[in-house]
Amino acid sequence: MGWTFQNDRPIYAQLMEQIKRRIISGIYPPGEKMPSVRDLASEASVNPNTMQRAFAQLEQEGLLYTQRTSGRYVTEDEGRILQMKEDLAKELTESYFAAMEQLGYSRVQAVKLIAEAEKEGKAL
Amino acid sequence: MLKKLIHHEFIATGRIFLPLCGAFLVMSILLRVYTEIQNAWSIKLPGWLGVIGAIPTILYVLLFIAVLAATVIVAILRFYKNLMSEEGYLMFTLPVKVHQLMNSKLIVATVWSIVSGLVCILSIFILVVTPDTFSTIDYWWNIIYTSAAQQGLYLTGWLAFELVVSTLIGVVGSLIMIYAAIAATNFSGNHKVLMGIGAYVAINIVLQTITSIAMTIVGVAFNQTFSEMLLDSRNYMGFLDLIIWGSCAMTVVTSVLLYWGTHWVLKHKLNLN
Amino acid sequence: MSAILECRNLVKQYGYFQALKGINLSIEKGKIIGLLGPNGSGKSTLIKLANGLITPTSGEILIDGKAPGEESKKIVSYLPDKNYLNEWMTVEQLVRFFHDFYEDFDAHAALEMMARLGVRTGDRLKNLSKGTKEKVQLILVMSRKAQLYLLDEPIGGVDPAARDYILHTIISNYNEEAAVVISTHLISDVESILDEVIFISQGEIVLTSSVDDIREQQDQSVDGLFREVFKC
Repeated sequence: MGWTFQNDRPIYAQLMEQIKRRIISGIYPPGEKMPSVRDLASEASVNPNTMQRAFAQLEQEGLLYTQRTSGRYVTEDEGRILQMKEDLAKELTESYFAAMEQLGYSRVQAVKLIAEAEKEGKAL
Repeated sequence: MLKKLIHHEFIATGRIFLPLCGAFLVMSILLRVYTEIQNAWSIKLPGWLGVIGAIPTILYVLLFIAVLAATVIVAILRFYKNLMSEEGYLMFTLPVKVHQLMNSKLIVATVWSIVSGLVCILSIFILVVTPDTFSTIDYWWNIIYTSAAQQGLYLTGWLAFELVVSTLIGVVGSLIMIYAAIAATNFSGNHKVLMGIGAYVAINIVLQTITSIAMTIVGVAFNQTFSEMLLDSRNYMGFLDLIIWGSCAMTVVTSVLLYWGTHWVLKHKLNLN
Repeated sequence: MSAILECRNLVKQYGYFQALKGINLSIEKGKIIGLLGPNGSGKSTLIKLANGLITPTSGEILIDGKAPGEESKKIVSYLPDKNYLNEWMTVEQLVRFFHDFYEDFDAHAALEMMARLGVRTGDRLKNLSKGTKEKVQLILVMSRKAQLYLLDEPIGGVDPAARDYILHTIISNYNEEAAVVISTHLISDVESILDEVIFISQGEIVLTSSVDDIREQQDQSVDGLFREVFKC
């Protein structure tokens, strides 16, 4: 999974989203130690201060926690991660509806299209 | 820091001088062996082969010139390229004093001047030395010494010392003059080489004018004293001392001024492009 | 917090041409700052003044409160926008040179990075490719634990892979208490590693801002804003 950034939003916010996705998909499993700020900043080609800011925010949201001596860890609260996963899924669904609405499809029509696409996928 | 600068300056210059001096001395030995063989078998190469026979001598002369020229050329290039061109970006961002940059170049260039002088003497020695060289030198030395003494000139150790010191001062003075001219290139945008040569010529003209004015003044002012001194051959040595130390003092004064000027330019007016 | 780099009414004039027209600027430690402007806007002039390679016409420039000199050079690590190293030197000689003169130089780290780059210590600079040469220069400069890094066009004219290498080398090696100033006109390439930006145009500072502020308040990237400000 690479790191990519859009132009119109602060980078720390985009970093937060992308780290969340990595936690959900298990790249950073619950209870595991996170890479250091500097290593991850280097990997993503971002400023370590920006990465620090993203980490701090994620900590506030309870997704990461700091152990005083040994660094930062992903939360062990799998319920919290599941909830985040569902939130993200809802968000994606909503943005799908929003995009379809712009094309002139109602929500019902959009759902129908998804169901059809799913059938076709199975047929393949 | 000066020590480290000198160390790196020796590395940078030694890579040119050591092989050059080495090649020159090897060539001296080869030429000597070659002439010995020629003499022993009285070989005389006919016609165009004679030209080939001259090749070792030509090579030797070229190397001789190269060794002498290298001292000047390397001194110029090390100051110009290393300080006033791109490499100056490195040298002038080192945490060292401008004095130390200048002194390291000056000391190392002086050492190489002395070394190349000694190497030239050694080379001539290699070419001509025979079992009775020393007695020949001794013989001629006696003749020269006696006839000079008859004129009131005593070729003593003191005089040798004076010559060594004034040569050394002369070498350092010439290097400083070159450095001052190179520092002047700092004020030219596109015609740096022209500026350098122009500055060198200008410095020379100014110094020569000052020197001749000073000498005239001294000559006129002390005309009486000098004339009286030269009437008596017992005063010749004293007069010689006066000339040597006088010119040394002159060189020291101008060198100090030029050194100071160069330092001022490099410290307060530096403009590398 | 005291400024590591400060300019007060800094003017630099070449003949009749004013390269810098009275710059006032203060840069603090702990940040990566982009000095952004088109070619010929005065970026290099400013950086050269900070290094004492040229002298101000008027005004002053201070490094940690002092004019550029022996003391400032101990704490400033400078990457010029040209090849400034002796071409005949080997990588090992260069590392020793830096080690000899800079107390804050980490020779071990430098040699390790050289090895990772595939450069052998016995290689002479003149035998390396242009790109490798630039990387060697950057490694030497970033192997110092300086208080202020002044990087002049570190990514000018390099391919995307080399650009990534350079940015990674900067991020993973700079001293976190230091300030890093990166001058460039290739903004989109460095945007993500900057805390703050300074826009400079025709010898004058036209904008200073944090990158997040630009993105949050203007809803566009620094690159976008730059294109807007410097529209021809």
